[in-house]
Amino acid sequence: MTNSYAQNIQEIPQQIQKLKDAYGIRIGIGFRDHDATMKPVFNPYYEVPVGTVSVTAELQMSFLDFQTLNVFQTRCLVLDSYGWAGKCKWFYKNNASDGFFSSAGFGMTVQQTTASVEFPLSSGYLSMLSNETEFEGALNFTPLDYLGQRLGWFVSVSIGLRFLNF
Amino acid sequence: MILQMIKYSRNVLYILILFFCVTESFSQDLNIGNQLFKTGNWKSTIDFGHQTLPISYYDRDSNNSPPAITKDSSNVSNISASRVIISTAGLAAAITALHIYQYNAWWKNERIGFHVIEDASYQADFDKAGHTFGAYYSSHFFDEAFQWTGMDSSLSTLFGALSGAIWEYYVEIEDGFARDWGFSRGDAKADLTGATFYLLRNRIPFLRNFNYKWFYVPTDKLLKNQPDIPGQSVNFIEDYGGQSYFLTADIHGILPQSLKPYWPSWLNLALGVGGYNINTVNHNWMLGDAFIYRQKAWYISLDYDIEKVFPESDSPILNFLRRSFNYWHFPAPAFRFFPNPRFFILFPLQMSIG
Repeated sequence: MTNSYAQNIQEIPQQIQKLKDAYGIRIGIGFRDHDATMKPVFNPYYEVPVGTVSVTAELQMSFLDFQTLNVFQTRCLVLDSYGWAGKCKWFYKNNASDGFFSSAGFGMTVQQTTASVEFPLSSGYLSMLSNETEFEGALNFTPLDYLGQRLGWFVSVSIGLRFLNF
Repeated sequence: MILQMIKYSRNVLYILILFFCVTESFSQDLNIGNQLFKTGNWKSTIDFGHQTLPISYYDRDSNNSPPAITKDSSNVSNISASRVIISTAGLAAAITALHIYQYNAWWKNERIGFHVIEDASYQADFDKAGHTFGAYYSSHFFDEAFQWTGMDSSLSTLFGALSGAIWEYYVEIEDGFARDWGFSRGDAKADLTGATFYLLRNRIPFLRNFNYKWFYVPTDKLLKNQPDIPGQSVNFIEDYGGQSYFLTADIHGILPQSLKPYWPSWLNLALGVGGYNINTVNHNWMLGDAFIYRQKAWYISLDYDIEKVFPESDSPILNFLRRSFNYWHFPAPAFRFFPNPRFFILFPLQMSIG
């Protein structure tokens, strides 16, 4: 069955757009201003390049501590915080090569007894593993506003994989 | 009241500024499609700013052969200033109207410091299905508005999902400052689920086979204004007894090619959840939970794919309505398997057997 012109005109932009998409998974460790416990961090994200920046939507999850991150007993998975962030990401590298990036954004996280507005800042390095995969290492610092109660922060170190042309 | 209005005007201003900045700053860059269409030939690479990709990623040998290059097709990724203004005004008006509606219903009583609550027993956790849908459906409308301005679909979907999350979290934060309510961790989790599912469904082709829908029939709680919290007024968002939510599966889309002729493309299967005794209050609540009688009810149901029932039209407004009503589960045969098995001829209308 041949596609109609109308179908083509819809489908082809979608395929072109898919060339731009990227997604990634980031894991790491971090701690919060009022809690020195090291927390496992897990951040999946979706990214759309726009000109010289990328816009990223990211899920932010941290777990209570390493004991609660028992993947074989999922009932033990206890979220310390969860939330989302929208970020702009800048790349300091040539096409298809290794190089640095930085990002800044806005988001919200929900913690055990409170919630906060956050302004995540990251800086890191991307290394090409293949034409469609990059390795990422990053330092992340996130100022937090606990909704008029007080200010705080969250610091983490993360590594991850970024998949291009999703 | 005046302070509240000033505060809210400031919030609306932030949203408008954000929206203008986003659309205006990106309007010069959203020309990926134009690199193909405007040049009139297929280039060997596409420059994405920080990343150049070979055109071979585009499957030129597939059945989807390139369309003829026309003047119209160069507009695929162009943002129109007039449409930005119209959609910004429309979104601002809708957000303002919703805020006023919710302010009068929930928040106008005494304001206190921000506080977090757990409210699993309120509505038997059924309201989480509503929060998920709220983020999911509002993401759709934001996405439609962004895409109408000329953004390409990947960016509009991303912004749509982010905007849906921002809106639902804004509502939750307002709850957090209201004396009679509170910021609910469970609600926030449901909000996040809805926005995330919207993003994934619109970027992963297989997930297009699944949708999340709702239907609503007003109950006495709304019609006779019987709020759970005395002094407040009931609105349809809180009238959970009349709401039901469905995760639908496009069976025709999932089936292998050889079996597709045996299943109509417009007919889906759905797993539904609704309230059961959801408006009942335990008046002896001093001796126990006030909401102890409230339960969730589970259904298997047929469902209609509105986008396939009604063919695509030449009218953009009709197509928008088709897409938007495809988030509604219209009455269809359903079987309630928990807690009290019963067959419904056209659920959620109460014509039943058993």
